[in-house]
Amino acid sequence: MSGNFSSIAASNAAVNELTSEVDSLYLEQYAFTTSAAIVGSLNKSVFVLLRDGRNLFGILRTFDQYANLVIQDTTERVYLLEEKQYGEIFQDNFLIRGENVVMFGELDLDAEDDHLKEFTKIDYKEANAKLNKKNEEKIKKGREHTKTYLQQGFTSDFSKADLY
Amino acid sequence: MADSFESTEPLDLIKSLLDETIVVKLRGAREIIGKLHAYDSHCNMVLGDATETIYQINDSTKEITPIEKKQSEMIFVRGDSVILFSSPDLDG
Amino acid sequence: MLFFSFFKTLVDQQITVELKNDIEITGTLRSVDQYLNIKLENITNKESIRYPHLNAVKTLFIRGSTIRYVHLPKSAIDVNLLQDAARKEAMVSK
Repeated sequence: MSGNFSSIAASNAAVNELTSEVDSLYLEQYAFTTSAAIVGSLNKSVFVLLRDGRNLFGILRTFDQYANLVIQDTTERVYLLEEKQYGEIFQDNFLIRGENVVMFGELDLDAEDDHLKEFTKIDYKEANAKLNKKNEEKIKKGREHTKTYLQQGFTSDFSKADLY
Repeated sequence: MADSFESTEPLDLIKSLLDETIVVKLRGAREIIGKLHAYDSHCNMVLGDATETIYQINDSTKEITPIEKKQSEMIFVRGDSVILFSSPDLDG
Repeated sequence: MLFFSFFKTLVDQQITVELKNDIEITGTLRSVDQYLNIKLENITNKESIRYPHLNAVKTLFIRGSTIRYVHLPKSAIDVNLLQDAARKEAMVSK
């Protein structure tokens, strides 16, 4: 009788090993997908850089294969690098269409606000207004450059949609 | 009558440029010269020993000057930036 | 598929990604996907001035469409193998 039990145990172990091999093969197949790269960041504090230059900070709640993202409890932060100032506004939740994402990253909770020590916080509206003015100048310069390039037979890569 | 002409698409002709030095013209007034190691139908490329040249505008004089930016021992170029590529002039 | 496979062989290498806005980010390649989106770890930050919050970032997912160049270590690449693979890919896509 005990012989039966040990052989059952042995075949169970063999089946378990086979299953885990199959499992790891299955996972390997999906290791290099968009979803696999993002799933590790679920429910973590992330920042997202959008193509229009906005920085969003929040918690990643869901995503899909197109890197569309849902960020909860988002703060939009506007950095004014030359003036060493920043402005923040709480924006609740965002669903971001993947094509507008430049990059996003998981934040180290201990260090995420360290860089703010060197910046002065100002009113969001003021910061946003300053940033918009800077962007307008960027666009104007971009247009002028495009014109000069085209006149001399070069192409220009400037797009007013890409201000990151 | 043998119809020996096989239709070749432009990318087929580039096969012969593998392992050759090529000039790539890119968006944003850039050029790269390097040895073509790989390419695909998107014009993604890997170039070896590459030198990038950027044509920059001098804001005051509106002159465009080429600035030889940097060397890269191995560089992957994303196809959506590529305008054209060809073998370089014989006199460099 | 060629460059997807190519980047898979470069996982755990130090690479520098240059974005279309000229910003360069160096890090260890952790993952790539069919769109050539790149996931980097251990970012060393030359661009902390432009993106000050990048100092606190552990892993970074960069959308492929925003990448202009990826600077690679020559030592990690078998050039002949790569050229052969490119020739094969050219035949397949025909």
